[in-house]
Amino acid sequence: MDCNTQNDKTSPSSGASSDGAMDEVMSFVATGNASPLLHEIKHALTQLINDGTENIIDLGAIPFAPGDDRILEDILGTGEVHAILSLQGESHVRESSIPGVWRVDHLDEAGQQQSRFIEVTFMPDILKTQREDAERGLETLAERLGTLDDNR
Amino acid sequence: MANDNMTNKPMLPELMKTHGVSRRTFMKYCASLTSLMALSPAMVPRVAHALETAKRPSVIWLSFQECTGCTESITRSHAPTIEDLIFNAVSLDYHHTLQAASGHAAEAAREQAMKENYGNYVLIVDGSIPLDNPGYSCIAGISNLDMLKETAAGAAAIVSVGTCAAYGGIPHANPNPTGAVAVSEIIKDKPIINVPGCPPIPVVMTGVLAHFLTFGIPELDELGRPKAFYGESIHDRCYRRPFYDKGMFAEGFDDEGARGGWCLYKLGCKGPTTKSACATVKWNNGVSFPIEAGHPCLGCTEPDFWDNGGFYKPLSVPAGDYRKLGLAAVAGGAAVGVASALLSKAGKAKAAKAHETVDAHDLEK
Amino acid sequence: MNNPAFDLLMWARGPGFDIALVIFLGGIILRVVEIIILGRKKDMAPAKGSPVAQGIKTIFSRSFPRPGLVKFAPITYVGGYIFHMGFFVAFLFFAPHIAIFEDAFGISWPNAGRVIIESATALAVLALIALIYSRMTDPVRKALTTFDDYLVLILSGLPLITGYVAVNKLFGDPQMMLAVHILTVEALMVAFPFTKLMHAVTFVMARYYNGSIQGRKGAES
Repeated sequence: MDCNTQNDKTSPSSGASSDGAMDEVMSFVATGNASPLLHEIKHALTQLINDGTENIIDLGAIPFAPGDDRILEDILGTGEVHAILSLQGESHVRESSIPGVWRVDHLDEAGQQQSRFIEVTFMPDILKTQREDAERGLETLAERLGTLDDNR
Repeated sequence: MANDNMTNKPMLPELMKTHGVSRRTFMKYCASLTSLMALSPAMVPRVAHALETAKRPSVIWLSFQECTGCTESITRSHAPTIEDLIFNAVSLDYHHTLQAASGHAAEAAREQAMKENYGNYVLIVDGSIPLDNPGYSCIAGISNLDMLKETAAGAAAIVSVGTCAAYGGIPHANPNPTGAVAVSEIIKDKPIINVPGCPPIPVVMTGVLAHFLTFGIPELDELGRPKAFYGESIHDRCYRRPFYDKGMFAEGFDDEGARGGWCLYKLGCKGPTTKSACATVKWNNGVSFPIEAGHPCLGCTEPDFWDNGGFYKPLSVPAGDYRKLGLAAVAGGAAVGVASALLSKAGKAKAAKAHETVDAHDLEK
Repeated sequence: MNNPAFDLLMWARGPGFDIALVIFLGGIILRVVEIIILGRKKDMAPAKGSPVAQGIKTIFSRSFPRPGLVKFAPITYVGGYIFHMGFFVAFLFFAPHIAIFEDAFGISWPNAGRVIIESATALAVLALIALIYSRMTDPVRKALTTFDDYLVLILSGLPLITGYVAVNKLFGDPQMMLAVHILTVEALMVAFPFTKLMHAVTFVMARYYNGSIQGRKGAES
């Protein structure tokens, strides 16, 4: 049992935002959905290796309690890549310690969670540059070069 | 605000270019919106395509007997999102609180929008409509009933936002002094989407609108609510459900159970009979919802929730004033019992005097 | 727009309960008062023992069957015990039911978890089915059975079954099933004073009477 969430409040007395003790209690509330999900991920990873099929799992679609998140964290862990995207709010793209299993978490501008996905792929689509953006980038570059040349 | 730019050009690519929104950001938005609409991630490309090709619709918002809570709720997106873009870019041609015009100019704007987009505009209604006397609620001298009928005639679809428009809400509650009714009681020939709640969750309102703009009318349940947001009861998605199952209940608002976050059934929670997205989508961009804040669910997405016996009476407890009746029944029963017994005794004495006989069949009587 | 299931639920919780309560309480008190006032024939012979002591003893001793009787009618006894105990556990120790007593009288007691309640309910229903079966197949009992007997058996089983369905949301609209459950309970309450369900109250008096008659004669009961 990890006790690292204990703060100096010894009893859950402050009702609304009792962080430490309440979180600790909640972190053991699990729905039992973590295990089937992890098996689904394993199956998806097998598919990826065999024939390159990519899979996306929406974590918002399954009832998930803090206890299930804990199990997911324990099993998947942290890997080598952590990309922070600024897309009207941050988006975190992390490869877990299981290569090929990526966690994509979207936050809005206020830092609140918008959606969470697990992508089993060689490269999540959102990391790649999109063609339309590259086309607009070309226009922007041409403009800036024009200005540079003018100012010489 | 009603301008001649009700063009046939898809609005989103233009908007994205003007606001410097990258396609990557658009992809993020489509992923989140698909998740919100409870669709599978495989639908993301379809959602993206639908959003890219959606045309800029004209929207008329009619406010009747309401408290403006629904408008307050829908405008509570602090962080600008693409939903905001869509919502703000939607040609909101008429809205009491948000429009700049007033008086005759406002009504003229409404009439012009109706004429130009006849058959295609979206009509959003909040507030109930009084039927007892049209004079109870009028706008610019036009009664709610007349304005609703007139505006609904040319609408493509109607969205009843809030429990008042969807089911009558608080004006409809006992004794309903104005004869308030829901939109669906008056308009019978147009598709109506009910988005109840007191108020509804902001992101549910914009999600329904987004769904309607991209895919048309979402799948509705038997009360006309989109199944994506009203398909599950609060009870089935409540994070305090394990406490209910184990029989751990808060007995008061400040006892050990309440502070431990136990189930609020005994404090009157209507979660088991209420269908809403509060337990999953939550409020204030996912911060919390009433039960998480320690207050039992009021059941505000269900019709007649104001008359459900009291917010703090548990669902299992009889809702009426039964104590007095019970005492009266005991007293009455005793009185009648005494009278009947004395009568029987008198009858018995008479029968004994008359030497009447008894046989087995008399016992069956 | 109205939700018919909700309207039914509110009727069941409101006027429905009021009516059922009046009939239930009024009827029971009426009959009990009648029984007491009508009284018993005075026995002029001098008493050989204590009627009161034996009467009270009998109230409790009759809860245990005489040796040999269980073998004589096993389904009746075993089924009867299981049904009654299961029914009381499911009724008195399920938290939403305790909430009713708390609202009415201000008293409450600890509740049992879901597993216990559901097991008790299931066992009670199974026992009920066994009792109905034995009643219908045993020729003697079948001959003695009246409409009252079948009615009471069914009315006792419906709240258990509908309660289980409503809590577990097995089928149907949740509000409708809760309303149906409450209505079956109200049906039970209404039938109470007119059927043999009165035994729930009169068993005390019946056992006392029998015990005191024997006690007066100086015999055990």
